[in-house]
Amino acid sequence: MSGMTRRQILIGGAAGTATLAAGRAWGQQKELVANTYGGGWEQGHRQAIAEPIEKKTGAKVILISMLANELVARVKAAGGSKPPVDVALVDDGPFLTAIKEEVFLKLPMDKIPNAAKLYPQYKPKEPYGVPVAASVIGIAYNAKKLKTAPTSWEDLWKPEYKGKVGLCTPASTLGTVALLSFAKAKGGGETRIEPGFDAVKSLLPSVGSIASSPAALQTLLERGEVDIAPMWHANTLILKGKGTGMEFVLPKEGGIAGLAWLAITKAGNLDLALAYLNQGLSPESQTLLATPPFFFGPTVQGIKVEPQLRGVVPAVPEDLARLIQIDWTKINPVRPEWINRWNREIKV
Amino acid sequence: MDQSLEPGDQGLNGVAAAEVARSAPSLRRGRVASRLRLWQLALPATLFLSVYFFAPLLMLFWWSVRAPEGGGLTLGNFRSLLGDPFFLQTLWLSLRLSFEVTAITLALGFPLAYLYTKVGPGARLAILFVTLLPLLTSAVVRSFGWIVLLGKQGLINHGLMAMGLTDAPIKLLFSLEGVRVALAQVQLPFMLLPLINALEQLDPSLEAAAVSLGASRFQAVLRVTVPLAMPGVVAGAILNFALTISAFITPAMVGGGSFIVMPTLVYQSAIVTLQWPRAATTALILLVVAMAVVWTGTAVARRWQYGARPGGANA
Repeated sequence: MSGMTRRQILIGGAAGTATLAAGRAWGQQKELVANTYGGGWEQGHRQAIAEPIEKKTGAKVILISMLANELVARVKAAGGSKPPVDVALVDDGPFLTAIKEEVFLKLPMDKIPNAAKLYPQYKPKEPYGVPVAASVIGIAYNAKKLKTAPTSWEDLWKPEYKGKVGLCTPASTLGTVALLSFAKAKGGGETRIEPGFDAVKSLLPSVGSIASSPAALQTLLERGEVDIAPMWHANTLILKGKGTGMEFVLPKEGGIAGLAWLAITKAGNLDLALAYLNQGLSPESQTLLATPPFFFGPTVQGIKVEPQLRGVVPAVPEDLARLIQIDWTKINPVRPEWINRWNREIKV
Repeated sequence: MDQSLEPGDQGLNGVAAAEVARSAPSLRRGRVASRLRLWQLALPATLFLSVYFFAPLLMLFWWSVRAPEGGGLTLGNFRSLLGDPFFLQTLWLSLRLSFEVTAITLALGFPLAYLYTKVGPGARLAILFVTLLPLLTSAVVRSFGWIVLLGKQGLINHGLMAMGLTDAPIKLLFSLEGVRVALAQVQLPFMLLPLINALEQLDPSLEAAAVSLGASRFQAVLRVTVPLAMPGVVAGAILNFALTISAFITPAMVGGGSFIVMPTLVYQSAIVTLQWPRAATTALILLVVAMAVVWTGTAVARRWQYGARPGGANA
C-alpha cells in the first residue's frame, strides 16, 4: 500500500512539475528520450511502458532505436556533455560495462517502489538500474523439418542436423552466451573457455551459417537457411507465430536468462526518468510485455503469463530454478579476447 | 609588382571584367589574382570540414597513440596490430575485395556508359533509373533482399535446381562472392555517372576519324575513347574503392560471421569491447593504406592516359 501511495505521489509530482514547466516554457512539453531495440522490443517498449507514462504525466517519450553496446559507447563518448538518451535499455553485459565506465546514475531505489516486488534472483546487486524483462536463451528448432526435438546442447552435434545448425558470433550477447554454454557443457566456464572453442570447432561441419546478429539469425531460421540454433525465446516465439513451425526448448543443462535493464543517464529529468523506471516494473507494463507478440518474462512477482509461455518464459519461481546463472563480471574482462579469437579461428 | 596582384577593392566581377579588357601578356597575372579571390569560395567548406572532419581526425590520431589502459603516449597500438598476421590478412582481404568490386563495376559500367551516350533520351532515363534504383533503399533492406535471393532456399538456387543445372544448393550467401556481387550492384552508379560524364564530353568525330583512318570500331574505342575517358575511370574507381573499403553493413549482413573485414574490426573494438585506442589505430591504418592506394592509382592512371587533355577535366 505504502508503495502505491509513494508511486502516486511521485507520478503526481512529475505531472505537477510537467504542468509547471509547460506553463513557464509556453507550451513546451516535457520530453524523455529512451533507446529501444529492434524486433518485438520496438513495439513492446512503446505500448507497454512509453504510452502509459505519457498518459499519466503528459510528458512525451521519444524512443530511438539503438543496441545496448552502441548505446554504452555513445554515452561514454558524450563524456561530460549531454548523453543521447535519458533512459537506457541495455542487456547484462553492457549494463555492467556501463557501471564500470560510470555512465549511469546511482538510483534512489526508494523512489522506484515497484522494485520491491522484483524476484530476489533479479534484484540488482548495485543500484544502477532495474531489470524490466527476462529473456531466455535456449534452442530454437523447426519442428516441421526436423523429426526429433533436441533436448540438450549436445544434440546440436547429431548427424541428422548436419548443415542445418546456425550460430551467432560472440560480438552479440547471444553468441557469447552460446559459446559459454558449450564450454560449460564440456566442463569449462567463464574463466576457462577453451572447451567452448573446441566444441564450436567440432561443430563446424554441421554449421550451415554463422550470423553476425540475432536479427540476422532470425531471418536465417525464417528463410530455412538453418533449422536449429541457440536463440532467444522471444525471437523464436515470433517465428512460431508466423507459422514457420519453430519451437523453443530449454536444454536439459538449463537455459540462460538474460535481463534487459532500464538505467538512467546523467541527462537530467531525473523525476520523470524515475517514474519511467517505476512504470516499467508496474503490473500493468509487466503484463503487457509478457503477452504476445512480445513474450518477455516478467521480472516482478505475481504476474500471470499466457499458458503457451509456461516452460519457456520464466514466470514462477519453479521456472527460475531451471535457469543457470552466468557471471558477466567474469565474462566482460575476457570477452574481447573471445571475440578476437573467434575472428581468427572460426570459419565456415 | 603589377597592380593586378594587389588585393584591391575590386570584386570578383571587377577582376573578371578587367581580365577580359586586358591585353594578352597581362592576362596570366590577372588570372593569378582572380584565382586568389576564387579561393575565398572554399572558405565555408573549409570551416565545415575543419569542424566535422579534421577535428575528429585529430581526435582519432590522439586516441591511436594512447596506451590501452590510460597512461602515457605510445606507438604500441600500431606495433601490436601491424605485427599481427591476422590483422594483416584482414587488411589484405579488405584491399582485395575493394579492388575486385572496383574491377566489376568498371567492367559492367563502361559498356553501359558507352551505350548511354549512343541512345535516345528514353533509353537513357531507363539506364539511369535501373542503376540508381538500389540506392533508394536502405542498406539493411537491401541486404535482407540478398538473403532472400542468394540463400540455399533462395530464388537463384531454386532456379538453378529447377533447370537441373545443380543437384544441391550452391553456397552463395555468407561468402565473399555474395558480398562482391551485393557491393558491385549498389555501387555501380558511382562508376557509371563519372564515366557517362567523361564520355559525353568527348567529341564523337574523334572516334569517327580513327575509323576513317583504318581502325576497327573496337580499336577506335580502345585506343581513342578509353584513354580520353580516363578522368572518368579514375573518378569512378576512387569512389568505388573508397566505398568498398569502408563498407560495413553489407559485409556483415551478406557475408555473415564467416569472414571479417576492416570496418568490422573497427566496429568491434569501438562499440562492442570499448577498446578505443585499438579502434582508432585500426581506422587510421585503414585510412592511410586507402589513401596510398588512391594516390598511387591516380598517378599511374595519369601516366597511362597518353594523348588525353592535360589536367583531367572530369577527375
